[in-house]
Amino acid sequence: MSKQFNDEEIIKLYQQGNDELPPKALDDAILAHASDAISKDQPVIIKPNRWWHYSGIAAAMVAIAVFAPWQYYQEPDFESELKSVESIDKPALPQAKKTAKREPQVEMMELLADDVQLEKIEVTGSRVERVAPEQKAPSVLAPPLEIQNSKGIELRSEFNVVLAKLEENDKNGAEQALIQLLEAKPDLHDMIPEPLEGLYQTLLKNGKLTKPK
Amino acid sequence: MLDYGKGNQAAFRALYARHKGPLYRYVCRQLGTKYHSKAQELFQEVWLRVIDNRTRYKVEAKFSTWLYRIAHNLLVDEHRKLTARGEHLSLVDDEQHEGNYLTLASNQTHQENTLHNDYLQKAIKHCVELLVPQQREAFLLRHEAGFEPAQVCNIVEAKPETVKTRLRYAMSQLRECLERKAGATELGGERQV
Repeated sequence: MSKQFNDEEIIKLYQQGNDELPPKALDDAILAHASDAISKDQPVIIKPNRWWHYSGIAAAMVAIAVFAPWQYYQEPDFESELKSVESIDKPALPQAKKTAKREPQVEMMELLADDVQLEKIEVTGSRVERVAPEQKAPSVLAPPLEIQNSKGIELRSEFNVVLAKLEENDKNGAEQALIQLLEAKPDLHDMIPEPLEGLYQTLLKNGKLTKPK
Repeated sequence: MLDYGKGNQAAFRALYARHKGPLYRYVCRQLGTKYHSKAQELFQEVWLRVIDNRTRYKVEAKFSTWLYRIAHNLLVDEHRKLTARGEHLSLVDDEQHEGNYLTLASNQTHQENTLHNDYLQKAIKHCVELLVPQQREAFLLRHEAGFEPAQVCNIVEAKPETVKTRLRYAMSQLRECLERKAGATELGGERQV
């Protein structure tokens, strides 16, 4: 009679010595494939090409190196210009006040000198005009004064000898000097300055001097 | 598996070491000794699919369930190919080929018990190969891979009653097969597995 097998015996019998494994070559092939798949998955880190970053930084540094000394060179000039403007501005107003007290001749000469300086400043830059616009007033008024004064200065220089003798109370000397001057330069008959007007009229009445036609 | 999906090679090695034996035996038993080389090819294909789908793996079921489901699908395809070519193992054919298997001399009284046990172990494996494919698959998943009946249902996509019936019929077939082989040895003569 054949042996009877229950379920547990059949299962136990099946599991006994059930230790078959895949061959080593198959294991290696599968593990190699798994390894390759992972290595392919690894993201390739591509370093971004940052040459333009570095070149941009280098260009900026070159620009700074080139233009920074230029700026340093410019700054003192700017400051000196400002100082010169300030130095002109400050005495300008007191000088204008002083001129009112001085003699007209001296006043005219100083104003002429001021005008020359102001014209130079105006040429150097418009900024100066903006900084001290009030300084333009004398420069605008200067041309007519200049014309008058230039003639006056020349006349006075011609009559200086006469005026000097008159101030020394040397009336005869003054008369002689005036006669000689007018004989030498008859054009001066029409340009007699006020201090010498009385002396000139006296000489005409005395007949010592004749006014040319 | 999630670790391997993130690039941990050691995690795959651990998974492979844990599952390679049962899966290999499951695939080999399913295709039979006649198709041993094909079974190895199919076993490799299962793992290649696991590797290729590592990033798509979701924790919806145990990894082993997912693994054996891949194997099940590949085996179903392979059975269809074999059936179409008329090469699929049939019970009749295998019964006819029984004489080609290992033959043991019955008159070797020494080492009788050991030999008898070895004979029965080989006999049960041969009996498993003789099972109907669906019954064999249920038996192997339950007793080779160690799945619970519910998990077997998930893998083979069958109802629980169907799986239970397959398991019951499989045990019945194995019992009959073993008793027949054991009875043959007791009657004397050559033991044929």
